[in-house]
Amino acid sequence: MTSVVRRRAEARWLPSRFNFALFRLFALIRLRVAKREERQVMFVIDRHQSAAETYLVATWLLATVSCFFAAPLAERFSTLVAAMIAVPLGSAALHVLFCSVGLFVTPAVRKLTRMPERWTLRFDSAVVMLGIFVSALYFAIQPSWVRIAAWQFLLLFALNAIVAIAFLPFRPFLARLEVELGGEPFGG
Amino acid sequence: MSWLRGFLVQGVYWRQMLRFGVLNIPIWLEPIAIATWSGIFLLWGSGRRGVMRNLSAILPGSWAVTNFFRAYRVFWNFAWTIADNVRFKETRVSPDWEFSGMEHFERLQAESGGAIILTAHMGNYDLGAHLFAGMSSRQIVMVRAPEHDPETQRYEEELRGRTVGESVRVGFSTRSGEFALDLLHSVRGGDIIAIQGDRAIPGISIIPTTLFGKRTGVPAGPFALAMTSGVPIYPLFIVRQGRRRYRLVVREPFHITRTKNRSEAFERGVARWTGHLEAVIAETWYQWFTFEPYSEELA
Repeated sequence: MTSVVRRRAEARWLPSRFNFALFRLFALIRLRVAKREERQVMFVIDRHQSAAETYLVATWLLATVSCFFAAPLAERFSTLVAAMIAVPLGSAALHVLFCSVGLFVTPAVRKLTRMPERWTLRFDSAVVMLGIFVSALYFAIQPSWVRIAAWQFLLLFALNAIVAIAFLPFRPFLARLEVELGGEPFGG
Repeated sequence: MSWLRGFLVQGVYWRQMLRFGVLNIPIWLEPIAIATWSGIFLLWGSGRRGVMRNLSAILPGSWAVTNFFRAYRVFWNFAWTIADNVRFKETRVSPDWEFSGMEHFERLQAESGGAIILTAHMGNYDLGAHLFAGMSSRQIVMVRAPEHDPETQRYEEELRGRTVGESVRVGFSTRSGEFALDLLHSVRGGDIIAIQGDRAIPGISIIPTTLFGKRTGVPAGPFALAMTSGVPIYPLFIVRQGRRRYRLVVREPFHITRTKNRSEAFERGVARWTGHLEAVIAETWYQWFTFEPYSEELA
């Protein structure tokens, strides 16, 4: 069963509708300045509900991973050609990563640790992010321009982790915001 | 070699892969997976050509090359829609909703007797039914065409049995007269019957009409059911607005009044329905999931 907020359009800025701490922080600021807006809407409270966040993060990760492929390719081809090859390669690499995690790593861990099935997606996501993090660590120490792509990933990763830690004491406050906006269970 | 059938475009393996993807792909990587797989499914020649031919009628004077990219947009929307559907069934996470024609929707919920929801192959039919079930205490009966592939049909039935709540019942439109009587009994008992009325499967009786100036047929069942039972028809569309965001559009209900001239009464009802259908498709052509030419004139 999920929770929903009805008829309050500003509920789209509820921080609990965002996944990453940086986006939650932005949403919190946006919610504080938003005016009450009554409309025929129903917003679901789920941490992955924001389209803007999902598209931005997906684009950012694809761009970062594509840079990891583009750097060595740019030594042999022009930058444009390298970029054109690197984007599909980046997408393919991410597919290989999440498919192998979902098909082999997570089932093995679940077998060994009796991890509950409902944790699967969160565990998969953590392992995939760890994979990109480790790749970024490797490319961060390379001499070519690829280290800039790696460092921006590591910096944003670190910044998000700091904000996430800073948010920990405010969890009850975030839950209160949902109640204030009229969050209610919905069993559709 | 029957296992190879599973890889046909309507085969069961794709449904299983979709389920795997929904349950395993980090949500912040979903757009990459959806973009890639929409591109791969664009290689499905007959589906792509069907969409492009329909677009040439919906958007007269459009270029084939532009319609090729528009077909990609249709596939992209379809991929998000079916992913949202599986996510809801497996994890009960629903999308956000906006409502248009709320007064008609409230009237539908307050109907003392049964009613017929007439909808189209667009947006998310299944999610709409579950939304209705979540907001109302009424039983909803979804009528849908059976899957082409028996293995896929078994898979979908198993998934539905495991995940669909008691307030939503699913029936399959076949030639069976027994099923028609079941529906009549249900609607007279106060149930809401949801039927897709924008295309007919072979073997189903149709009422000839035109859509975007081309000859086609819509299923006769919903109109005959409305006439026999005397319940109103509510045109209702589930329009995808963006990632995990849908709009429920409900139009003014109408009755198919029993007169001496049955076919004239049907024609009036069908004209009203196709008027709504054309208006919605013209505005949201990128999510009319009809992968075959809807008219013989386009074949």
